[in-house]
Amino acid sequence: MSVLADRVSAPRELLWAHPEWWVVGLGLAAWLPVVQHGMMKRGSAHADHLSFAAELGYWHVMVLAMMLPIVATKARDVAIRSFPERRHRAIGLFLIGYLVPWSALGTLAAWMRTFPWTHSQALTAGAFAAATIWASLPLRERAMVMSYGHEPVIAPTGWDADRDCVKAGLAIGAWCLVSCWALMLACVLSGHHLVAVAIGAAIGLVEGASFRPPRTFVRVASVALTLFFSVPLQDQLLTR
Amino acid sequence: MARIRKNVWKLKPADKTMDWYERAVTVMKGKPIADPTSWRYQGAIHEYVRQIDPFAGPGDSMPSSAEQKKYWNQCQHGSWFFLPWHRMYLHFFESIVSAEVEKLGGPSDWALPYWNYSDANDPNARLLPVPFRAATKPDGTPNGLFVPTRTSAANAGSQFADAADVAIANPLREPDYQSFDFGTGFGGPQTNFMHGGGLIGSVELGPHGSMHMAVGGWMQQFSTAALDPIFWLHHANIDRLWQVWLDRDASHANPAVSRWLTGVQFDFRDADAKAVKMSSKQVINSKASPLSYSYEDTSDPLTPALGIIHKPAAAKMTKKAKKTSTEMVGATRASFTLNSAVTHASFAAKPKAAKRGAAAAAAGPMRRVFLNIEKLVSNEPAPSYDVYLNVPDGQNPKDHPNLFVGRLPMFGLVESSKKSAISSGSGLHYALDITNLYAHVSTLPDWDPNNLRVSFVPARGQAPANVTVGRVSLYFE
Repeated sequence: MSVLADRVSAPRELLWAHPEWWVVGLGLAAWLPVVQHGMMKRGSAHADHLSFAAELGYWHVMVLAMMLPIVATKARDVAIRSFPERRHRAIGLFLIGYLVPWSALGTLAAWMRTFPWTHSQALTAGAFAAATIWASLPLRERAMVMSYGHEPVIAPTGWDADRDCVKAGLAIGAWCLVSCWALMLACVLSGHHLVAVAIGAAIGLVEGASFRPPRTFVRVASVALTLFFSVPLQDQLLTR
Repeated sequence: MARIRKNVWKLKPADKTMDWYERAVTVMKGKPIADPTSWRYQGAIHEYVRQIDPFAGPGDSMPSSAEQKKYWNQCQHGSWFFLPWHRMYLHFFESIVSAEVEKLGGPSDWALPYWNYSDANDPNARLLPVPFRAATKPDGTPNGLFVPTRTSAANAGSQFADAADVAIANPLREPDYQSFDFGTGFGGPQTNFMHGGGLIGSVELGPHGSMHMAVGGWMQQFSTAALDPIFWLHHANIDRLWQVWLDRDASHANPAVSRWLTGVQFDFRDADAKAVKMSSKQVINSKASPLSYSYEDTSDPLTPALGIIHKPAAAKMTKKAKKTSTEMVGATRASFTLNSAVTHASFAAKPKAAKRGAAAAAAGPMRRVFLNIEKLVSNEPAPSYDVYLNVPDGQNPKDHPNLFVGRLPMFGLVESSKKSAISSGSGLHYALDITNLYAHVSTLPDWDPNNLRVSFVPARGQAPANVTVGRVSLYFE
């Protein structure tokens, strides 16, 4: 007789062992509006003029789609440090904290996009070039170490527990932002172009799953994005 | 060529293994740090901090920063790569020493001996082996194996390690290689690059960590540990225990996933200073090429006669049918510091779960119970701490050996607390299997799941240090 079996039936054990399942699910679900937006006919995506609210909305679905699959293991960290009945609450509070820094940057980005000069192919290509350089800086590597290596301490119950979950999300969100801000802003300047978002997500997933950051892959992918947005090719791709 | 690694305490009087080791070490110490076959370069592979390099001098010509970044500061701790990485490290070191031995006119099959300090049949086992103790050799020349900063008892040939330092019962009884979710495992948790910190595997905790701390001096820090020649015999024994663990039970197995087997290529330089890469898969069979070595003795040491930490733990550990998750049952509310002669922490275990866990643990087939000491952080070196469970109020934990949980070695504490390019500074995390002890204390008259008490005492009567404990928590499998 297992302690666990007293409470959890066998078919549900996988979900029990991986309380972060819905974080991955939410991240995957966010790809639907990202893909839908990317496939819309608008001519050059970087030239799209959306409202502040729409830009902010697309920013958030982009963050959810790109970041949640990567940060799911960190959401799991707060869940397994919590009582079983608090696991999903812990994850929810963690995500709130995690999204605070991203929402702040997203607000800034959406406001920037209200200015016509940000709708420029040259600026988009330049942003990806800047992201390529940023990806090779020691500060960025340090930020990755800090976000992936963060070990939260979570109080067992009450307000303290809620606060600790939010704090863990804030800390990891802030280091993620330091690590990925340049690439995410470049994706915004590209008009949330599907190629940019997909390759950006791939960079994050590969880096997160790797023993050491695969510098060659990251550089090649970043340079490819820079070149891709330096030529008019992206105007034809993914438009109908 | 097949090498046989022998027990240093069982070398015959005419055996020259240690003489050749001393001569080769002396040659290696004479080489510049930029030479990959030098003593200092070999130590720096583990970690290098120039500020505390005991050999640093104004004339040092350091390797390029690219060389340092690729080959130095590579040791893996708090990781399922702890065992394979150190096996590779020993292999290349042994090749380098062997090449030096051959150049000196010695045998071509020189092999690194091991120090089996846990040998219950040898009263000398815990003593520092004789060749390492004296500052000079009989001819008056310096002994290359001597390190003055070790604890004085070690160099004096006196007892310096106790039963808790050399205990091997807990790691050898681990059913799994990998540690999962606040539980214990023989080899450590799945990680990416992990230079230090995080959840420590059972054999890495002890006897690995505890003997690093017991020997003292250079052995107590990552960056100086491998500069002590005893380091290599100590790690040969840890490497041997890996094989002992695999051999002693048919269900014991290494991870079979590609992420562990081939997912990582570690960088080393071989005896010819050539760049080489190696993955875990290449070192899981030490008798096969490229390693080609075996140990003199890998028999199972867990006999009833073996002295172990606490008697209840000698009970048979029932195999679990399959891997299951852990759940948190209780935890302390706030962090605290271990800066007193005795530090107590208490917390409530959820009564229903606590009762169920105690009953299951007592009746068997047991569900395992784990005490976790999370996020130990300090910016100064600290002694090892002994942990006790439910010591009656006002009493000295040392008077209750039957309530002893285990020893926290604190090896790597400062390194894992420091934020750097390769460390988040999250400190150490120890998980201790307290299944039998938990079952025992839950039958005592003062048992109260709403008041579980954990006590921390510096081992060997040492002064306490400013070590912060993030949380103490209880988990049931």
